[in-house]
Amino acid sequence: MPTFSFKAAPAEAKAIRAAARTRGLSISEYLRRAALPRRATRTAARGSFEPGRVVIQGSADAPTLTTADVAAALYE
Amino acid sequence: MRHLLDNDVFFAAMYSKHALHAQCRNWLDRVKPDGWAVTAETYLAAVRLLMNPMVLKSGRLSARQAVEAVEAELSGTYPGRVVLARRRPEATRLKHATGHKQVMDFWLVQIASEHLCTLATNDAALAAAWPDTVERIA
Repeated sequence: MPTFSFKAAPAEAKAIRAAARTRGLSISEYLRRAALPRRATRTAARGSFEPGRVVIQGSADAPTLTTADVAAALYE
Repeated sequence: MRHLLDNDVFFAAMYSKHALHAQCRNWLDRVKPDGWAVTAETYLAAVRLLMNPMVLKSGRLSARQAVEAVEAELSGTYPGRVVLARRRPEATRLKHATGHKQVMDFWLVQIASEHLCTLATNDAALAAAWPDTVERIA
């Protein structure tokens, strides 16, 4: 695994150590997360997306919808 | 083109937790070879519903996913068209609306009439009001 080393001013080193300690992270992990922020994740849409026939599976917490519910969501 | 889908029928066909999903899905699969379409308004309504956290809760789609879903439904062996109105809203037709929710329905009836096709709906009242232009699916 490649190893990085770099120079930092004393004040910078102190700030990095403090920030990592505050978050309960090693300095390596803190710098890794700072340099490579995780993208906001969204659950992949579940269901079938065949051309000409899409069926999106509703999530467990989603209610069963009626025609009136759809109208209310669009027009109210 | 013979069938213009209203917002509810199009969404119900694509979404498994709509109470009329099975009926709308089966109907759409059956009639696609006849020629079918949605209005631009219905296309956008489907995208809105699929992105709405109050509707799909944790399963809501991103804009990209919602558009991809709608485009996928419109593609395939029997692709659907996206049609626009040919005329401005007809005042004589809209005057028959008895509530604000009917305004969009009546607009879709007008577009179906302009394109010489029937509007597919799950709304019994709409089908009763415009029996020559509207077909009830479920």
